[in-house]
Amino acid sequence: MRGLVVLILTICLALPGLARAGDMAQPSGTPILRVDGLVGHTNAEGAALFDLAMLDSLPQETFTTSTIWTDGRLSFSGPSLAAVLAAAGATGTRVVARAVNDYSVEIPLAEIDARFPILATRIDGKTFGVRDKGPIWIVYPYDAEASFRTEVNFGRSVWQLAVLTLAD
Amino acid sequence: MAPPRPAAVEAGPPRRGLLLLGIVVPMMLGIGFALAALWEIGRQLDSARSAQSDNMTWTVAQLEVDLLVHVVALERAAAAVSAGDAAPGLAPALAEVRRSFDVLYSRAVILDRRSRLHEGPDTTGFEARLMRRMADLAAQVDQPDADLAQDLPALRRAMDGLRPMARDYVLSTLQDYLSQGDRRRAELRDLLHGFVGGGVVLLVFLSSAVWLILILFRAERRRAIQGERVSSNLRSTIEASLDAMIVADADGRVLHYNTAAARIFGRDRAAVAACPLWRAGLVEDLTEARVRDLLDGGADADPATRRTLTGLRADGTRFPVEASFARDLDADGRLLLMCFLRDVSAEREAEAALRRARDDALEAARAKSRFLAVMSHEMRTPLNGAIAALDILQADPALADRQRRFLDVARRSSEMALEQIDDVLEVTRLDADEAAPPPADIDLRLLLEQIVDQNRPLAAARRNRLEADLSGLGATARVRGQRRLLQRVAVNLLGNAIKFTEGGAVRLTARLDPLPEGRQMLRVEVTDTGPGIATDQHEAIFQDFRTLDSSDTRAAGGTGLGLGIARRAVHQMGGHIWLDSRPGNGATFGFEVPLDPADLSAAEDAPTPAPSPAVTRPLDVLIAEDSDVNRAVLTEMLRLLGHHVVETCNGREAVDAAAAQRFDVVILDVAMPVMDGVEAARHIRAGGASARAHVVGLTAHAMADELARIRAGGLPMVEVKPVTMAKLRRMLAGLRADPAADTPAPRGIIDPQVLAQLAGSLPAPAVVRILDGALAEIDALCHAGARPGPEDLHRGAGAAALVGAVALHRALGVAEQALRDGAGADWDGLCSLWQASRPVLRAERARLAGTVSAMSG
Repeated sequence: MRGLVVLILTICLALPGLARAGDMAQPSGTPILRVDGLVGHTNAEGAALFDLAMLDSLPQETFTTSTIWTDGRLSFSGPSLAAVLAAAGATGTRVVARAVNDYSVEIPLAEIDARFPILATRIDGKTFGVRDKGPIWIVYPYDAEASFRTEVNFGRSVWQLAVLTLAD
Repeated sequence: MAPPRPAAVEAGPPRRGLLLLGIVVPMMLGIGFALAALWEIGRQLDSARSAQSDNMTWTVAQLEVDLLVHVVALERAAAAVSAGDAAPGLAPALAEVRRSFDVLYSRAVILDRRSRLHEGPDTTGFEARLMRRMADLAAQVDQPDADLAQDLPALRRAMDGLRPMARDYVLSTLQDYLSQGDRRRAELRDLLHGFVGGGVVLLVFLSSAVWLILILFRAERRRAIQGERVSSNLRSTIEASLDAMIVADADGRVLHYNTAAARIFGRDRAAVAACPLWRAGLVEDLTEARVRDLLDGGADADPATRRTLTGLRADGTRFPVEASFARDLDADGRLLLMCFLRDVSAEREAEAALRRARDDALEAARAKSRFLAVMSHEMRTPLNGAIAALDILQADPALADRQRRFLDVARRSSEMALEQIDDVLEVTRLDADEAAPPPADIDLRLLLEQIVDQNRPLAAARRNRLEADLSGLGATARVRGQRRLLQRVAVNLLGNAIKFTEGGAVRLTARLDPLPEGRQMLRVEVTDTGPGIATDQHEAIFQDFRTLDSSDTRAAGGTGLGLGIARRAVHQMGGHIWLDSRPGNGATFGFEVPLDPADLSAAEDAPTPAPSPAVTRPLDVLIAEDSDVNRAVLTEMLRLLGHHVVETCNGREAVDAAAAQRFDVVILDVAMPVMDGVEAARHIRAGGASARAHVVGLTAHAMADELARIRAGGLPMVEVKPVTMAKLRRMLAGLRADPAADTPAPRGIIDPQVLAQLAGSLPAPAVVRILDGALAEIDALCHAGARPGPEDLHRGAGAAALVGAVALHRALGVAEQALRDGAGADWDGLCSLWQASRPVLRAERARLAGTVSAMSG
């Protein structure tokens, strides 16, 4: 019995491509993020769906910064993009982020570091809806470094994020 | 005299500062301008890079998309509603409506915020109106599904109302962005232009600065080269200098020390380098205090001041150095002391050698003078003897005529020799630059009259008429000057004229002309009617031993020194002498001398006493003479003159004799063994029987300084040898003229001076003979019954003139002329005049004859 479980686990680990629909827990609430494409872990057909609780269960990053779209300095918190991709077992070289309004932008994986950007789920500790660019917003700590304040990064700061698609 | 201060070194000309300012200020301005432009460009690039906003064009344009998506969702939901409330597609369609509305809503939030923040070009207030509209609609969207489904058409209408406005907004905003971009590009272009302009300006200034710097650098390098060359030249000069040069720094330490210094002081450069001057042991006098004083600009620091210091060679020998010092600043403005030192030992030696040579020459001149003095003494002494002996011989009445003629020759020759010696001595005396005796007051009229009178016999002998015109001397011809020199010149010129003229006339004129400051110019001219002198000989005739015709000279008995002496004497008195003559027209010698006014308060300078009638009273005379010959001659002469003589051989004996016996006159030879004449004179005067006797010195030394020494020593009366009878007689007469013994002749009949002169210049026996001859001649004329012719009267007149019977001389002259004119003579008058004259002449003859017989006694 134990040997069988080990075997299954081994197969699952050895053949991630074969692991479909079932190696990731199903979201208990409404899914707010879909990660598809070259993902290793899924809980739906070819995709890893995350609800707010799943995102909250990942390591959280919090920082305070101003943005060019908001007034004053705000505290953003949420898991890092890298953590979410890892949770989905993402591979490939780039990720395409698409928003609810079908805005999309491509981000090379090489340009994503361990902490930033984050997928902000809370502003000043509160979740925020689609009308306020929610529920997920890719945010960089713009105030921390000038290198974050580039047009490319502004373009990658996708609000109302809905889908992350990994590709080669 | 302030010591010179070295010029302060200035800190560069002020124009260089201006130049620098002219470069630096524009450069700074250019740099500032360029930096400002650069900063602005950087800022703009930065803002471009860090993208303060994302792509607003997208953000705005997306509004229409979001609106259309929401309209499509409303369309679908409306279709589902019409399909029935239970239609399965209704719920998702309504969810889509809500989702698309939320997206649109968020777009409105973004635009509204942007319009509030940027107050963009759109001032229509569309964003704010959109935002308000969305907030209103949100309440309907957020209703439950049933209510929402019912409000779908209203929502659709609201959206349709919004669409054209959104379209206008997007288009106008796009237009704004386009023109904004244009503006920004223009700004950037302007900025770039400014930057380029600033760059160009900067470049120009930089080029100018570089050019200026190059010029300055070249000038500086040229100056440095020049400075280096000057300093190198100076070093070469210092090095090549034959004099020692030492340069010391402000602490007195030796900086430079040239080769000459090393040679002169015998010390290497290394031995003295950096050593303080006072410890270098080069110049003894350069003590630390003195060096400091020089460095401080003391009096010695004047380069024109030369000092003789004592140098010290390495071997310890001292030598004189001539030193001068100068101060200056070096290139860094530090004080330098330059010492110029010259070894003057060779010059000093040359000076000493010169001084020795001069001393030797002076000594040689003195030796010559001494030699001449000795020679004169040695020659005068034998001549003294010879002349005195001839005098004595001539007094012998037993001589034959032939013997008397030879005696005359011998006597004349001796006197000529003496004259020659005296002339040579006079030349020596004038050349010796002896201090002239103090000037005395002179009665020029008296002096010149005497000279003329003394020359009358000579003039008569050469049948010359002798005239004197002294009217030019004025009323009082008293001056102050050198009597002896004046006398000498006048005598020489007059004697010369008489000697070279025969049967003619000689005329002496003298005049005084006033000069400034009360002085007077004496001008004397002697004119003769002699043969004259060729013009080319005028110069030569004043030279020593120069005569025009040796046969003439011999005939005239000159030495050839007379005019030379006259010239020297005139020059010594500060005057000049001249000659005006042509052959055949006679000659005029003249001289001019400036003379001081007579000192009227001073005692009258007694003229040479005129010869007075011979002393008739026998005197007691003491003589002291160490030479046997001279003593014998002197004794014989005095005895011939009728005096009693006691002989001694030296001063001591004379003093003893004078103390024991009272003498009227003491004659002392000056140079004697045991005790000399000067000392003996003092002893005799000091006391004893002869304390009041007249003491006379005799010396062979004719030099003026010797005579002065003797006079000053206590023998005011000195006679120069040789001693003649005439000199002795004059001397004794001057001492003891006894007026009572004289027989005064009736005035106007006999002139006593004529006889006195005769007695003074001729030995007594000769005078006696002359008197005898004259008496016999005139007696014959006045003999009763005699009828003499004019020739007889002429002879008689000459005889009368010779013995001084002046009245008879005149009367005879008148008678002679009367006879020649054929008139009768006053014989009685003549004879009575003769009777009056005869006793005087007889008495004179008797007196003279008496002395002659006393000699033989």
